[in-house]
Amino acid sequence: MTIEKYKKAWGKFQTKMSSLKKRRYEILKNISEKLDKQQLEAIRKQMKNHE
Amino acid sequence: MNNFEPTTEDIKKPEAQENHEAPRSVETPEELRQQMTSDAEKQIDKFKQECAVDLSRVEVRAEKDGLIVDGDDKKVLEDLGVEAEEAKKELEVEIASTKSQPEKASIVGVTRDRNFEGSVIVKTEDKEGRVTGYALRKNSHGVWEGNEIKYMKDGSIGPVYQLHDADFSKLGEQGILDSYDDMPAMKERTTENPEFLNEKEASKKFLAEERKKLAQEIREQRKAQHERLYVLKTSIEKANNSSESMESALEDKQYAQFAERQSDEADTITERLSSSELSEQDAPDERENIGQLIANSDNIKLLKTKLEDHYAKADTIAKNKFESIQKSVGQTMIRNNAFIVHTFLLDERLRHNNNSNIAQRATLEDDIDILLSLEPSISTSSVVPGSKQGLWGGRIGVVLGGGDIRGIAESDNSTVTGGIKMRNGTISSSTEIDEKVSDKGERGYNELVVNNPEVFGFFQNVQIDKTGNMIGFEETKSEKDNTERRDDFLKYIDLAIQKGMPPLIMTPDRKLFEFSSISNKGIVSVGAEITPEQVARGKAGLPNKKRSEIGEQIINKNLFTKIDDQREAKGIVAELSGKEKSGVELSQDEYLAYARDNQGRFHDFPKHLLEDKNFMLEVAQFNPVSAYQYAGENLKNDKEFIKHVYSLEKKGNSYSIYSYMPEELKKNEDIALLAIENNDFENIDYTLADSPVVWEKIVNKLIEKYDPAKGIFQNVGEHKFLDATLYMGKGVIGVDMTEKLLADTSFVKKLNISYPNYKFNINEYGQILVTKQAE
Repeated sequence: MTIEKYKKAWGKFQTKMSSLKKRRYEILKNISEKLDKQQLEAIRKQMKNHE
Repeated sequence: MNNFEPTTEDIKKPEAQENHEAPRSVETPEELRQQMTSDAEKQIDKFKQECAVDLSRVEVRAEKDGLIVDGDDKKVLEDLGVEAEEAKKELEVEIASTKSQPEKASIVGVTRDRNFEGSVIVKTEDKEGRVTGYALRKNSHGVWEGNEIKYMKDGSIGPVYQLHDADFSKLGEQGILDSYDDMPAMKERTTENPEFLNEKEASKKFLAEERKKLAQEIREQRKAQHERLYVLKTSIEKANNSSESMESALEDKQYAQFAERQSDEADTITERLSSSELSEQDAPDERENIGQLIANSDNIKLLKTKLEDHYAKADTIAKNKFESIQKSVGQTMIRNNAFIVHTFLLDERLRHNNNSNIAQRATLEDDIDILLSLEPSISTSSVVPGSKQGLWGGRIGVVLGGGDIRGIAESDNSTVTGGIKMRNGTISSSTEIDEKVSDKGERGYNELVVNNPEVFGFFQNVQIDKTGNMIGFEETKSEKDNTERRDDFLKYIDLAIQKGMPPLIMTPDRKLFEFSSISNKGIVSVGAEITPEQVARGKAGLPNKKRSEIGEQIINKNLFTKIDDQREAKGIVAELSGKEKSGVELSQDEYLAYARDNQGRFHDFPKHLLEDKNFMLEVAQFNPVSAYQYAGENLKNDKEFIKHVYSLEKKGNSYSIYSYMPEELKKNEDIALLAIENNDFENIDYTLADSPVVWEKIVNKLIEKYDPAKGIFQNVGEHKFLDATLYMGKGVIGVDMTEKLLADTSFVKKLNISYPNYKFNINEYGQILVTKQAE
């Protein structure tokens, strides 16, 4: 009974950790996309200034 | 030159397949818990570190390229670490809370053992099948004490260890201590002392509600008539003051007498009403007002009668209560220094005779269970310690600590039961009871009927040898026999202990002692002597919860010989469980179970069940003849039912279904043929003798019956005769049809055809002579 209860609690913890890792991925992806956009904007601006 | 390379692709995706399995390579729950805590901590640290590294990486990149990382995104990323910490804490709480509740022990038995006197033994078994017992008891302060007992594989007792305070908290968590209360043990009691109350005290104690109502009624009456009385009083005063109104000295005298009587009656009644109902201030007013009311109001006269009735009733209750306490087992024992005991016969064939309401199949244990749970009305005897007085029956019995004595007879009163809680016999006063119970002389057994008996303990009789030793059995030269006799003695002691009854020893001079042990030589060691007063004031009777549990088991055994008693038992158990006793009825399944366990004893079932075809068909499985015998009148005429009953009836059974049929039905040719077909042809209605088809069938059955191979001949000298007889029925009377049978030539002819090895002839005296033919 006790072991089963432990396993259940462990499963719940692991599910939570998976969810956190997915969110971390999404956040990092979002940050990178925003940085990419900023960089693109900066390049476009530079190119426009060169014209 | 500006090189643009998107960085999104660099972000490592979380693994699609997460490993959710619990850490392995652990043996105990505690190891698993520790492993999980450690693994979780590592995972969290790693996760937080990865978050930090990722954030640092994007910040480095941003700085390098002159970009700005969104502050909100940074915050969300940092918060992930906090959430991860919370998840870890949640896990720790969940597995920590489990740690504080150790696994419940596997309890395999709760018992008592005379080696651990006063203790309840709770036996547990671990996963490897090892049995450990916990001998538990509470000391006089209610504190746990006990021993841990390691049992060997053969069930014998191995090492024994003392339990300490810390052990009991663990035993509590494992549910072991809870089992302590499962074992029956006699309950603590308060012995009620007789107290003679006067009518006023009795009114307060026994009729408090009624007393309050009466007081209220008096107040209301006073209030309602106050105005009228005032007017009356004024007019009387006026009359007193007026010399003209007092026409004669005689009238004056009458008035004075009348006034005096009013006053006396007021005094009498108001003195009876205590200050508990009237305030001090109210009392004088009350006295005056009541006096006036008595003189002037019919209602008050009625009230006066009510009050007198009330006090008379209170007085009767007080006297009855006093007498009932005087007649209690406890008080009778104390007053007369005598024990009141109920003995058991050991021979199971004799234990329940026709006077008993319990089936003979009931075991001694059943009898004890019935006594302890239902506390039925029983026969007992009284004995005075130090005297030579007889007891009915065997060598074992119970000493009562409580109960209500119905009556007493100097010798056997031949009492019989009238239900579980009712036994007939003499009804005696406490004085009559004392007169007989106090008798210290040498005598045989007397009989007291005790209602609601509460058992104090179980006793076994012993003898005294020449040297003064108490002897439980006579020692023989055979060690094996001695062991068997000792085991037989201890068998009853153990049974008593299991049932929660302290084991006691009774000497031939009716003294009672605590049992300690018995040697292989039969010598009994005892503890302290027990006095009747100790019995009267000691623990007796099981608590209601335990009585109810045992009572349920008794009900399921269907041991009562009358269905009314079975129903009564169910009612008693319901009452013990705090339910309403009235209206308790047995279910159809319970009736069926009763019919199954008491084959043929269902004559006293409710009429609607005896008419219920489906029910009676089921009952018929247990005893078809009785099912037909006790079936309702309509069902008795149901041919389908009759056929079914015959189909269940064993061939050749000596009991006749036909004999229980309604007279009109017996005359029915088809029914008669059905009965004959099923060998039930001994009393076929005589009017059917004229029916050729019935007659022929009877003759054929007789031919079968008179098979020479069955040796049914009578030897007279050298000759063998067949004593063929036939009786038919005329109501309850048998009609001899033998002459008609012998006159029927087909009978002898058929005998000769059926049994060719024999020759059947009717001689000149009308006898059937049988001669065996040569082979």
